[in-house]
Amino acid sequence: MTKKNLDILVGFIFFAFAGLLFIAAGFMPTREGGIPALNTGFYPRLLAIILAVLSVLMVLEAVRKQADSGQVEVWWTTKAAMFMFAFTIVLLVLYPFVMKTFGFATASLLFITSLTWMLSDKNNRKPVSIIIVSVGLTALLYIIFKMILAIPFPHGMLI
Amino acid sequence: MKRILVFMVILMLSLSVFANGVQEDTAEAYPSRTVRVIIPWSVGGMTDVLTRPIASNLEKQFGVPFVVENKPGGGGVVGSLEIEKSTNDGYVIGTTSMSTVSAKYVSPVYPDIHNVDLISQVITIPATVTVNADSPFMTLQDLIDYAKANPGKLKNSNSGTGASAHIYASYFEAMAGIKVNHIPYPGYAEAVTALLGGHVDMTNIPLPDLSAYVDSGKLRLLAIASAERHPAYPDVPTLKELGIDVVMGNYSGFVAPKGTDPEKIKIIDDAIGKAMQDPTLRKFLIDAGYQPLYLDHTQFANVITDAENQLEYLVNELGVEFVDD
Amino acid sequence: MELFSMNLYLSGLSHFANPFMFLSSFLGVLIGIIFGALPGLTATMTIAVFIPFTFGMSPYISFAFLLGLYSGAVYGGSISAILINIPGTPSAIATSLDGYPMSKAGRAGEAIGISTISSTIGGFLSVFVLMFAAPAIASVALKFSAEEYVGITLIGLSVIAIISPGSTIKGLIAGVIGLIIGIVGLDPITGFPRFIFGHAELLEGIDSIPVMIGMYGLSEMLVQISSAEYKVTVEQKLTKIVPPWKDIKRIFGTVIRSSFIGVLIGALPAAGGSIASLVAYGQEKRLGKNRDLLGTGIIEGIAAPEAANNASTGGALIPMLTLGIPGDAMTAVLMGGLIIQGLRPGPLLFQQQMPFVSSIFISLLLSVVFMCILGLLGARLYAKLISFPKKFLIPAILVFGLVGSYAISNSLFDIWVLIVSGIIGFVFRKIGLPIAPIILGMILGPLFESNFRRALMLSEGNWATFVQRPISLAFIIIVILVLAGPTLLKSFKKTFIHSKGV
Repeated sequence: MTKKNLDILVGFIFFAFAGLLFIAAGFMPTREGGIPALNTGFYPRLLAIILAVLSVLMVLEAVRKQADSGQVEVWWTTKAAMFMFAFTIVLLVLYPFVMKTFGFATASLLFITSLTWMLSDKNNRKPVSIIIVSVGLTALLYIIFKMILAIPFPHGMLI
Repeated sequence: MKRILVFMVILMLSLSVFANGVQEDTAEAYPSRTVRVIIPWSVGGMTDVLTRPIASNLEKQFGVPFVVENKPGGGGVVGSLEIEKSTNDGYVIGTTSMSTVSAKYVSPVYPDIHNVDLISQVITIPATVTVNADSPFMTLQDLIDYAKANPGKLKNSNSGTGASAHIYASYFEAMAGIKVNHIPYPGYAEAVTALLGGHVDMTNIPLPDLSAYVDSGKLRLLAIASAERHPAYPDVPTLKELGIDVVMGNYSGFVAPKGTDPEKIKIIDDAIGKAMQDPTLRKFLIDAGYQPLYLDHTQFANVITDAENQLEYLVNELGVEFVDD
Repeated sequence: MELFSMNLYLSGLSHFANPFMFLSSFLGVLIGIIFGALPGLTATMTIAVFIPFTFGMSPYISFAFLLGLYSGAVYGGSISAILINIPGTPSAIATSLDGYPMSKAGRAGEAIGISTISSTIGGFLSVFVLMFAAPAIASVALKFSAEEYVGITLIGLSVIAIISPGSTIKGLIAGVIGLIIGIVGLDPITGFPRFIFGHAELLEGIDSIPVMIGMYGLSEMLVQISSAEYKVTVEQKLTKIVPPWKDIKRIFGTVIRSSFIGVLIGALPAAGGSIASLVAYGQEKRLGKNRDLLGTGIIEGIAAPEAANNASTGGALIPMLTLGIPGDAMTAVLMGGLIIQGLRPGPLLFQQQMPFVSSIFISLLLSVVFMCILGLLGARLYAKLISFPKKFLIPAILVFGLVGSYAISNSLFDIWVLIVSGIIGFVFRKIGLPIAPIILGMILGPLFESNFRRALMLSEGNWATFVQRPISLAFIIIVILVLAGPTLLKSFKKTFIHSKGV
C-alpha cells in the first residue's frame, strides 16, 4: 500500500470513529432549559465534530499529495520479526494472568526468561547468562517493588 | 561474587515461598500474622493520614504487622469493592466513610455498606457554613436573607457533583429553604481555594479542611453542622441553635469483610478503642485537624443508619438529584 | 514585614549542623534519580511509597529526604526520556522530543549533561523565587479562577499544534484523540459516567501514566522488535558530559526564560510541570534562534523543558506552603507527608513554623546541588546502561513497565491499559501519528473541559466572561499569537514592506 492510500484509509477510519462518538454523545443526558454547553454530551460532540473535520482534511491532504510518496513503512521487516512481535504480545497478555495466579515474581521471571531467550540469536544462545540475567532482574524487581516499596501484589500461589 | 548473589537470591525466594506456606490459624491467638488494612483512597489523603498511625498503634498492641494497602480509584469505589470481596478470615480490614453510603446515588458501580461488617468509628468531621472573611455576610441570617431575596445567585463550591460537600450543600439548601448555585470542583482543596480567591460566595466543606484559614483570618465560619459547638470554636453557633435542624458531616471508621468472626471484630474494635485513648495518637489527630470520636461497632451502626436515612430523605422526600442519568 | 525578616532564611540553619540532614538529602536525591529514571516508576509514586518511611522521623530530616526525592525524581524522569524515549513524568514529554534523537545519534551523555545543567539552573532559580516571592506569587495564583485555567490549558493545547513534527493535521488529530481519551470517566460537572463500560476503575478516567508508558515505552519496544532493530545497539560517545562553556552560553537565554515560565506556571495549582515544560518548549519553537532545528535533537530542545520542569518544582511548592493547596500530584503527596508530621501547610505555616519553612528552603537548595553532582557523575553510567545488549534491555524495560503500571494504584486494570496503549501506540507510529500530542491532550483535556464548564456556571452562561477578565483575555491573545503568530507576522511584514515600497 502507498503512504497516500494509507492516509486516506486512516482518514476514513477516524471519520467513522468521530461519527460513532457523535452518536454516542447524543445518548447522554441533557438538562432542560440550562446552558447547552453545560450538558454532559456537549464536549464529546464538540470533539467529534473537530475530529471529523480534521479527518476530512487528512484525506484531502493525502489526495492532493499526488502519487508521489513511496510505499508505506512495512509493519514487519521479516517473517521472523512478525513472529517475534506476535510472541511478545502473547507474553504481555499472559503476564497479568500469571501474576494473578502465581504471583508477580514468578510472572516476571517467566516473562524475562522467555523474551530474552527468543530475542537471542539462535546460534548464540547462552542459557547460563540468560538465566543469570533473568533471575538477577527478577530479584532486582522483587527488592525494589516488594521489599522497598512494599507494593501489595496479588497473593498468588507462589511469589 | 555472581554465584553468591544467585545463591542469595534463590535462598531469599525459597524462604518467602515458605513464609507464604505457613498460614495456619489458631483460634485462640488472633491476630497471629499480618493483617492487611485496605484504604480505598491514596497515600497522603485524609483517610490515609489518620489510618496509618492507628495501624501502627495496633501493630504495637498485637505484635503483628498491620500493613496498610492503598487501593485508590473511583472516589473510593474500587477499594471499597475490594474490601467486600476480600476473605473474611479476620486478616483483612478496611476503612470506610460516608462516600461508601452515598455511592449508590451517584455511581453506576458502587459498594454497599451492608456488604461489610462494621468495626468502629474513629473520627467525626462536621460540615460547616463558611464564607470569605471579606464577605458581607456576618451571620448565617445575613446569608439566608440574601439567598431568599436572590434565589440561585449564591455560588457554593463543593468537592464534586455527588461528593460529600455537594450532599451537605443540598441538605443545607433544602432545610434552610434557599436555592444556591452549586459549583463543582475536583476536591476539597480546590473548592476551598475558590472560596479563598473570592470566586464563589460560600461553601459547606467540613471543618478540618478549613480550620487553618479560619485561624489565619482568611475565612469566616458562620455555623457548624455538629450536634454541639466545637471546643476549638466556642463562638461559632451550630445550625441547630440557629433553627435549622441539620446535623451533618462525614466520619471515618474501620470495617471488615462480611461474615468475619464477631469475636475477631470485637478484638480489633477493643484495640482501636484502646488506641484512640492513647494521648500521643489523640494529639496527633487533633493537631492534624481531625476530631477523634471513637464509637464501637454498635454505635457506629447508628451513625451509618443516620447517614442512610438522611440521604434517603434527601433523595426520596426532597427529590434532590445529585447527578444526571 | 514579618515574612521578609532574615529570620525566615536563617532560623533553619542550625538544623543543618546535624550531618543527617545532608545524608538524608543526598539519599533522597540519589533514590529519586534512580526511581525517576527507571521506566515504570514515576515521581509521584516514588514520593508516595516513601512517605510512610518518614513517619517517625523528625520533620526536618524527613523533609530533607522527601524534597531530595522530589527534585531527584523529576530530574530522573528526563533521563529515561532521553535514553529510551519513555518520559518518567508527563513533564518530561517535551524533553524526549529532542533528547531521544540525540541519544539515537550517540549523544546521550551530552544530552544528559545539558539536561543536568539546565535543571540545576532552573532549580536554583525556583528556590530563590520561592524564598523571596512566595507570598506575592501565591496571592496572584489565588486570582486565577476557571476562566484563567481555560486560558492556560488553551495555551498548552495550542503548543501541541506547533510542536508536532511532520504533518500538522496528523498532530492535531493525535491531540484530539488524546482529548477524547480524556472524556472517559465521571463527567466533572454533572457526574454522569461517560464510556466506563461498567468498570469502576474507569470512574476517575484513564490514568495517564500507564498510557504514557504504553504509548512511548511499550510501543517503542514493539517497533524495535517488529523491525528486527533489536540486533543493533547504538554506540554512545561518552565525551562532553559536562557541557563546554560555548554550549552553556548558547542555551543560557533559553534556560533563564524557561525557568521563569516554569516557576510561574508551576505555582498555579493543578497546572504544574507538564504545562510548564510544554509552554517552555513552545516558546523556544516560536522565539528560539534555532527554532527550525527543534525536534531533530538539539540542545535547546532539552534545555527549555528541563529548566522549566525543575523550576516548576519550586513553583509547585509555593501554593502548597503558603496556601495549603498542592500545585500538582507530587506536591499533593508531599502535603500528606507534612500532615503526617503534624504540620498543617497553609497560611499559618510561615508564621508558626519559621525554622521549618527555612529548613525547607535550605533542603531544596541542597537537593539542587546534589542533583547537579549526581547527574554529572552518573551521566556516563546511564549512557552506558543503554549500551547493554537489546535482548536484555527490551525485556527489562517491558517488565518494569508492567510492574510499575500495576503499582500506580495497585490494580491489574492498569496493566491492561498499558498493553492496549502499547498496541495502539505501535499502530499510530506505523501510520505516522505522533505520540506526544495524545498524552498531552489526555492530561490537558479534563482540565480544559471542567474549567470551561465551571467558568460558564460561575458566569451563569455568559460567554463574554472569557474576554472580560483581563488575565483570561491576555491568555487568549497569547493563544492566537502562538497559533497564528508566524502568519500574522508575515502578512504584517508584507503590508509594511509593501507600503514602504509604494
